[in-house]
Amino acid sequence: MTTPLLEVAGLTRRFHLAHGLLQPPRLLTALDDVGFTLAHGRSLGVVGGSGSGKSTLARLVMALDKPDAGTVRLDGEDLNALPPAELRRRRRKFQMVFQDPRGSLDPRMRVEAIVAEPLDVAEPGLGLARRERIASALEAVGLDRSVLRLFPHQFSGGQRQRIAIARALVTAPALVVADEPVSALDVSVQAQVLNLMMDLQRERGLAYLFISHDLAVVEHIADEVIVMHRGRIVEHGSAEALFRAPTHPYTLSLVEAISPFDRMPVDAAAAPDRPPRPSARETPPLAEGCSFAGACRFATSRCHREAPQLTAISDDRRVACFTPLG
Amino acid sequence: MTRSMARNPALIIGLVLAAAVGAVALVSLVWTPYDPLKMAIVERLRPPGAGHPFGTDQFGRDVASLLMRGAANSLVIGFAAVGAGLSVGVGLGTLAAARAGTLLDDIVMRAMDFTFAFPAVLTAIMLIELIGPGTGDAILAIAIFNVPVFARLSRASALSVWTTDYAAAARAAGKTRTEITFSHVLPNIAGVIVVQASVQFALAILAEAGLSYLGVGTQPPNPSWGRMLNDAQTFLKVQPLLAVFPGLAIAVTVFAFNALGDGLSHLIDPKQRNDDR
Amino acid sequence: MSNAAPPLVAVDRLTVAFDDRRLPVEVVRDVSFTLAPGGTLGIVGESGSGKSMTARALIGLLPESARLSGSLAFDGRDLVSARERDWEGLRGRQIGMVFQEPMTALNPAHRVGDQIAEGLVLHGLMDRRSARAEALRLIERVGIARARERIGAFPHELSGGQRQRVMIAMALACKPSLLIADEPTSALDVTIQAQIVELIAELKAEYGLALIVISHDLGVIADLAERTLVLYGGRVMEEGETAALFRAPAHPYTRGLLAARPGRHKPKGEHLDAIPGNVPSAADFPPGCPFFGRCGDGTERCRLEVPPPVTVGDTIARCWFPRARPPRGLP
Repeated sequence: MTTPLLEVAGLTRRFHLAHGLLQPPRLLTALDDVGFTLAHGRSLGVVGGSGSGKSTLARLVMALDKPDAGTVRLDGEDLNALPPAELRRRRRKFQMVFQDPRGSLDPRMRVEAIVAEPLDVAEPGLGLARRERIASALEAVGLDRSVLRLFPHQFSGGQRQRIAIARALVTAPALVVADEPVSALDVSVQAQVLNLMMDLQRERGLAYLFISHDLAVVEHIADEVIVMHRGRIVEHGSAEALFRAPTHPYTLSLVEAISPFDRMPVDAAAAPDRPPRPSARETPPLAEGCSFAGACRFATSRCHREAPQLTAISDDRRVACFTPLG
Repeated sequence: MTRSMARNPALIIGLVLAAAVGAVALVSLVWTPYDPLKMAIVERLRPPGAGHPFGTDQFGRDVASLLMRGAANSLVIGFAAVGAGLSVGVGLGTLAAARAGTLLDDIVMRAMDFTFAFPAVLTAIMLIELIGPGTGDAILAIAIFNVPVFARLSRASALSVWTTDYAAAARAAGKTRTEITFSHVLPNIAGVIVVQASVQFALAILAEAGLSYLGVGTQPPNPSWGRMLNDAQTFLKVQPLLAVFPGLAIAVTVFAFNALGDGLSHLIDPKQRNDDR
Repeated sequence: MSNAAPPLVAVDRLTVAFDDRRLPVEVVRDVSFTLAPGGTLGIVGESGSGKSMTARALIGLLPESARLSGSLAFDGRDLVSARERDWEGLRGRQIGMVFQEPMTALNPAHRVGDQIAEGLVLHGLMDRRSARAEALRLIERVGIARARERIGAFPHELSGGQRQRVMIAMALACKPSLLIADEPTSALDVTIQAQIVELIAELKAEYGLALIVISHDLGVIADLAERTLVLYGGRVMEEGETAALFRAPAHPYTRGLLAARPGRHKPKGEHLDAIPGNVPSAADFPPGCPFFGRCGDGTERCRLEVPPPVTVGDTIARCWFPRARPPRGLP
């Protein structure tokens, strides 16, 4: 077996919540025992609601934050075990694209300086070749070299996201972590950026860790998908199979929540006798047991007591549920 | 830029007045109507009139010349004190922000709280014991008072820069915290720091006047506006104008720098700019 | 639209302009529509389409510098020249509003129950005691669990979905005849979005409300609106029954918008049918059709002349070359 590009194991991150002067400090487990692998040139989609831990996962994979437990390995190397200077050198291999290009580009820097940032760390002293490298990264995302001297505010949202992608590409990374890369863009521009990301993947053999709340986008881009709920992976499988035949009730609720306009055909045989979809009422989470039990129409008393472990139910499907659907 | 200035009267008034005060101070270094230190007892306590537009003081010195040279002294003290306080304060504040949540952050900021709690006058008096009375200890005392002001402001502003995605992107690019502080944090907090500096400059001039008034700052025979105010009080009944002129000079200068700060803050406020909708 | 009942909302050639560098920039141009009591209208558009300014005009919350022309009538009353005092009597009383980000629309210093009750007392509909009882009933009605505890909560103690439910309760407290929902689900999680959409649909039926829902999200519009207005560059591009509009859009912009979404019609990993180019800023639209330049079929006429509305199949498109056909790639 070859070493996977990215191997995440047992990743856990807790945050201390400051909560008033006299109350005891509370711990929030943002990420709980998360593990998966991602091969070269493949795309792994991450879906889940707010508070599911998907952005925490992105920060940990990018080594912008340290886990309380678990490892992030890139090409077999544990990122958190590397000395800081070594880690900085490795960063050329994994880069990030953020959600909102208005926030991820320094308003006081010119495009050239923005795109140069990772390059100057990875390959200092490029001399004349530096500008060529920057210009070719911009050309790869469909921007002309004449933009080098401009500032971010002189671009539209879609163009700014292209600049952000050029910055991520300039060091020729193997992995790009994309945290909601099209959510802040207009619908008519989202498709352009998604097309660009797919082209770049094909041309350069990039691997994507693609985080999004938009199931249609994830289904289109990703080979595999992990579904997260309150810091844990609840389901993991191939993109097509997972959305057509969800086995975790939370995945099912995500698929059902897609408007009929956007909805992918759900395999009717996957869950023959489903209780009706819950009404427009909110469902509070439970203190223990499965994090989804409170909102789950299939929940049993066991679900309210114990948390199910993520278990393989077939070659390409893992699910954390006592009574998986289908 | 020119358009936004036209809609920013505070900035224009501030710039013009500050430039005028600065020009007077500069001129005083090469020319004053009379030698500001030369006494002429026969001419003492003259009211404003021909020859002496602002009159003379108790030693017969020309008040106009004293005010001019005093402007130079006051401005030098203000610049030096705010400059030193700003440099040290911003350095400490951005350092604390880059290490937010660590012991270093705690130590720096608690030290700032302690310094801030210490009255500037007390600092100045202690400094006299250490380095002897003079302009130096006024500058140092005011600078020390300014350090925590700039440290707190720059830490708070820097922290908000550190939470941005572009700071995260710079870390993902592999930049060190020091590099990020110079390339992203400082350029993005420069605006607020400049605005605060103009306000602190106005305060420094007042503080210098206050310290000189207590006899701590500029030493005789060197004139400063604060010293002139101090000296004038003895003769308040005989020649009240002696106090009015330096008082007015202080008021105008403080107003100029406050207006400048106000104008600058409007200029850098993104909401005032014509952003793309 | 039914001919029998007079319209609840009648907007005719509404134009909203701002002075930018001494040149007026029109962010909403010539928008017309009517809404019958109990009807639903969707307004869909991207950033810069003028949809938010249209919504603000409808509730009299345009910035001071905005200049309004055309006509705008609610329940037969002209509102273009209405004063702030007239608006205060309408807003919250006859027109309820739900915004995108409930955290900024709710007062962080007041308990949510009091905020719901406030409107009832303010408009003189109830005394404080019965208003509080009504607030409790509303909190239960909008589906917040443990309503008795939550009535005393502050906005920050609630989740995003709960805050949006509180906003809806506030909007409905005085039993308005019109509800305006501006991006009501855009800040929420997918599963919560579905719940809020369902809640709005339920309450609309229960209260017999007329509803104007404004969104960039075609899904939300498809779920809630009977009729839809597609805005781009401040102008109406196309309007019609929502189902017809999505089935056979006649305007190239509507077609492009529908085809650009990934999902059911595109094989995985294949190129999406992106609309080329970017949305220009308000001052940079061509004098004619705002979509000129991004549309594949444009001519000189499109650039210079504003197309008149043309009925094509079941929709009305403002295009010189309308064609009723399914969006590219759709089966």
